[in-house]
Amino acid sequence: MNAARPIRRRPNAATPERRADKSRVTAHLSVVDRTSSPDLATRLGVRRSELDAVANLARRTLLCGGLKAARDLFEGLVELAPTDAHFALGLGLAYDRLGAHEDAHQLYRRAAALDPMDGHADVNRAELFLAHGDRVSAKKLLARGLDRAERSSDLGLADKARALLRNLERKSS
Amino acid sequence: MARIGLDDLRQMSGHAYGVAATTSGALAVREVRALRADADLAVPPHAAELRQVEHLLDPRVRRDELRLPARAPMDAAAALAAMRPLLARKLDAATLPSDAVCRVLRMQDALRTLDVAGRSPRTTNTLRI
Repeated sequence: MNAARPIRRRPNAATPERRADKSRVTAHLSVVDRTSSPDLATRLGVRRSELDAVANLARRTLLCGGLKAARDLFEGLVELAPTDAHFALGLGLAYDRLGAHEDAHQLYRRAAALDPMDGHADVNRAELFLAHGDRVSAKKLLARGLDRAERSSDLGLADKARALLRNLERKSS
Repeated sequence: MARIGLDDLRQMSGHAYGVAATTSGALAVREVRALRADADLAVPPHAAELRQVEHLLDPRVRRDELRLPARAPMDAAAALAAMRPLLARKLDAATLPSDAVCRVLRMQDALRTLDVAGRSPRTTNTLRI
């Protein structure tokens, strides 16, 4: 797995808080595992509309190439609402685009588990595997992502997954 | 190569953003390439802005729209307005884990930056996808 190319770590700003924060993702996941207690957004009284607005801005920022700002926004969102699959997907993509592929894998995996109907995390993760030359893992995830996309009638994603699968099969034959 | 003014660049790059946002990419690509050629030579600060436009047009970036679908469609101004209460919220560091406080504070910092940028005409374009 991930044998073809070494995983590049996310470039971190050298602030003391970041140096102390050795594994951002591990900390996120430990929060997710505290399933019995209410999430931070609930404890702080943050409304769903506020979280959605931040997610909207984070996505726009990411698409404009503001990767570090998008990462900071999505990290805050995942902290506030750790069981929201969309926030995990967004953070995964921010890590992905920053080259922190190991962290991206974890967040995509988390997003796929949180929303079993959504195929985006699987397809995104498959692309990561492809980037590292692991076609076998990519193929499995693409098949699952395609199945999820078809079940949720996400035609654009289904087309993409199908095209990637076809391309993989053409290369292997 | 003709030198073009800052205002021209701002107006044209804003237009390129607009064209890109409406997904008719060919015109935007032509414009941005022409602008880049000038800006790299003539106006270095604007080269960065144009590189950002070009980045927006990059096929990998455009694919990101499919990698992360929009969940709650709203325009940038509405999103900025809706998140402002979150900016004003104070965190009680004594009752929260320190890593959680750090992340939420970083998020608030990023939001504050976007909020300021969103009020300026020049950078509003960056939010107009």
